[in-house]
Amino acid sequence: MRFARFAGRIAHDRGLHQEDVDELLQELRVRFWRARKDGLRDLSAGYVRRAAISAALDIIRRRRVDRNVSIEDQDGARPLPTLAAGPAELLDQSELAQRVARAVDGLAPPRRAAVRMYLDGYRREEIAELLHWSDAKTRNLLYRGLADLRAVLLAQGIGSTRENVQ
Amino acid sequence: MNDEELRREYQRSASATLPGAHPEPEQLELLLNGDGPEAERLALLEHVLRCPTCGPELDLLRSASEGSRAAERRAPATRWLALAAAALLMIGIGTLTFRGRVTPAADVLRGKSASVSLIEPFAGASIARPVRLAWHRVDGATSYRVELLSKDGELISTWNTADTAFAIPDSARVAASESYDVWVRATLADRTEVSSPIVRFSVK
Ligand SMILES: [Zn+2]
Repeated sequence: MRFARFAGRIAHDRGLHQEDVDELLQELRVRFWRARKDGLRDLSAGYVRRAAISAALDIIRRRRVDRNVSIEDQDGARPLPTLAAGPAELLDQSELAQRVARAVDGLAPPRRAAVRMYLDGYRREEIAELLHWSDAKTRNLLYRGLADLRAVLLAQGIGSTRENVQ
Repeated sequence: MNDEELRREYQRSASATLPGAHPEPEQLELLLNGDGPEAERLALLEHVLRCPTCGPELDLLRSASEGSRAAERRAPATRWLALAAAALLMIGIGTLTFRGRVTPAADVLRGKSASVSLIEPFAGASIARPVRLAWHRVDGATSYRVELLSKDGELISTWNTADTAFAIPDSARVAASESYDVWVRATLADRTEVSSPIVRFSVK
């Protein structure tokens, strides 16, 4: 189950549930089962990937429908929830966390994307892959982005110059 | 602050407002494939990376992409037939018989904006016979097809109904303490289909 192992690795790294991967595999099995029943005519090199992605998209669509249904069941149509944090949680947040977040918000877009992913726990190869950047470009933008971020924080008296130069 | 401290503070923060609306699933796919201008993808990503619902959706897509790549990498790249067979084995389909020509299942690769939402059974349920299914009505559906599958994905039986509920009849010989997969597919007026998730349940 090579598919499961590799899909599971990302899922695990990103905190998705095992059930998500199981659901994906089950979807995929049925797709292949149907394709097999129908003679496997359309199978070409990209087939597995297309089937896997369309399976994932179907799962995403269904969840969105389910989410809307359950919200409507409760108290009529309401827009999708935007963020989990309520006012209480926002008050709880440390000033420091807020400042870091705001400093990230202020970075130039390509650097900001790299920094967000990095601070979110994505590995550098994953950043390069998702942004379709070369490894060198990724390293460069990430390095500069983190330097910008530290400079902004330093200007607010957060951190030390020594760290800033590292 | 070192990288770890930055990470910790960053992950602790929560922005009060999200930039832009939730992207459509198709836009997440563009993001994954790197299609379209980078500025647009970066704008999408700015939302997705901060959104508690879209973020996991993108990660699910990445999982699918990475898993399939691993399966295909292993497969010999010579002929598609060998490739497909190897890929199928890789995800645990078992043996394959290649038969003649037939059209591929039209739904296999087609995107759909609607789907069937099952009310029961829920995944992992242990239920007494008769096994009952219920689902939310799909707008524009002309009929529904219930498919009962073995744990290995073999079709056991299929039934059509215009209703939004169904009890699996005795003739299907659903056995006690066995597990099964079931799903519901709706046929729409334009002959296309949308489907529910595949739900595994066991019989008491
Ligand atoms: Zn979102």
